Amino acid sequence: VTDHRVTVAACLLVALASAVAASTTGIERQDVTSVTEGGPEPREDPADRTEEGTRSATADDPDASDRDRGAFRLTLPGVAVGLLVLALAVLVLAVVARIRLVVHRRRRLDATGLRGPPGVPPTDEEASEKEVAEALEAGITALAAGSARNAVVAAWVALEDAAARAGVPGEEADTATDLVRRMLAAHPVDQAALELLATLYREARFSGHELTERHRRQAGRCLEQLRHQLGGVAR
Amino acid sequence: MSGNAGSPVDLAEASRLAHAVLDEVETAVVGKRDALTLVLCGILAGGHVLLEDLPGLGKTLAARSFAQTLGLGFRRAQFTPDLLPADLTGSFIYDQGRGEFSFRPGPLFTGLLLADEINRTPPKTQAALLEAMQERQVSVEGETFPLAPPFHVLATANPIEYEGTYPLPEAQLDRFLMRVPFGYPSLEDEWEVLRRRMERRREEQTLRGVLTADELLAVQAAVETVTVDPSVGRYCVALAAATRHHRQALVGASPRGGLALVLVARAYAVVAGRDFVTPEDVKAVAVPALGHRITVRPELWMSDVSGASIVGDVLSTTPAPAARESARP
Repeated sequence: VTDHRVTVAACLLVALASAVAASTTGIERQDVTSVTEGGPEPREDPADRTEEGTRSATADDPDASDRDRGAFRLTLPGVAVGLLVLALAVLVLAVVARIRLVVHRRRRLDATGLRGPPGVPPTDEEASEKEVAEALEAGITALAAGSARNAVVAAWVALEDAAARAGVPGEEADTATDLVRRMLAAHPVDQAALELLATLYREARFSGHELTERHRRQAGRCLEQLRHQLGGVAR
Repeated sequence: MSGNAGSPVDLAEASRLAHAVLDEVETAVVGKRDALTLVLCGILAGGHVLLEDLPGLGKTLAARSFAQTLGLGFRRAQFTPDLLPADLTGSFIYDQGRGEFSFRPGPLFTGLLLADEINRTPPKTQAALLEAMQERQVSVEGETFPLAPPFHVLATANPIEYEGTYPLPEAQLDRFLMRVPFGYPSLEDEWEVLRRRMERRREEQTLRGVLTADELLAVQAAVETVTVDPSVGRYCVALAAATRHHRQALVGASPRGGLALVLVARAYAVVAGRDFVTPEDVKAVAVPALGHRITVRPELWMSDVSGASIVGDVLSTTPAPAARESARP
């Protein structure tokens, strides 16, 4: 919640700053035009004109002074400069937001312990892709060992790891179905393989009956298939 | 509990029967599969269900359809402001021929009782009904009559009209295993309702009996054999407890709420064709099983906050059973 508040506050601040910038540039332009307006008028003292053009011009023409000092009359170049400043501000904001998101996601991953060993941040694509493939590879290795039940659960744990490394971290309140939904939304992976693996995991994790070698083989096939796809799409 | 009640039903068969019941009921109640599934779960879990929604959405039709397909005796009691407890329980009538008082049972003595507009009757009669629901027996003039299983109550309540109603207090709502809203059908489904009525060329519709009362008892017994992993049980407890600490809740769900969650989730697993409960089952039934047991803080009455929204909140924050904590030998 506080994150949102900070972002909104920053937004308002930048918007205010850009509005002020826009209006002041507008006024400056106004001053210049008033000088040029005053120019062609006949003067008694031409030396006065150069130094205090603005004042003399406004003194000569009361209507012009009202226009200059009173309303912020925006001229075309003024608006253009203002918009430019605004665009720049938006750009800066977007960059800041992006950085915040990345930092936040990484921190959350650290907190849940779903991320790989610390100190190896998956910054570039290749490293991350490799990590996803590694996580799934570890799952395939783990599948071979132990009882069929533990093997299938280990396969799911490997998938959770891989998902986290592919940018889909698991939330605390997530069920297997929730994670599958989030992964499908984020990456074009095979829905059937993912859902079959989730079904196998649920059976291994929550049922009371025996699991067989058939379950183990099915889980293995799912992981192979996903390694093929997820390894390729990791960011 | 006689006849072929002894023949046990395995879970695969129970699941098949549950789907057959739902398919049959759905021929009468169009496009309400989710709500019907929840109601059936409530019955399979051995509980009573409160159907809450506006008039004309098919609540009564659903109740009657379930009674027909489940092979239960069906009685309907319209709860009016002048309904008395004896009108429900029955009373002793003097039998002139035999020269003694004999008991004439009321509408409570049936398999499935539809208590229509339960919030229109004063608390005294409500209490009589709720007591019968809880104790599964009726006491009249010091004599106790048991209500033979299966005995289920489907009650309806209109959530909008409060003029001349006696809203059920939370303590009594707690007796209902679930509260299920019906909601409006889609336009396509609504047209289907009209189309079928015209095709039928008469108002009433009769459904085929899929189960007998004994078979229903056997299916209920099968639901009792569903595996609940301890982590899933603890998840139910955590959800019920979390509603008590929610900042928008004045009173959260009681331990009976957590129990209801497990019972309904088991029935839901059976309907889904499984012999074990997953956290997904718990999430699917949490709102109807817990929502009506929560009292929202009075200062929030005019806002959108409801028991259901609080349960939704709790579901998105309470940690679900994870894969990593399951080291089994």
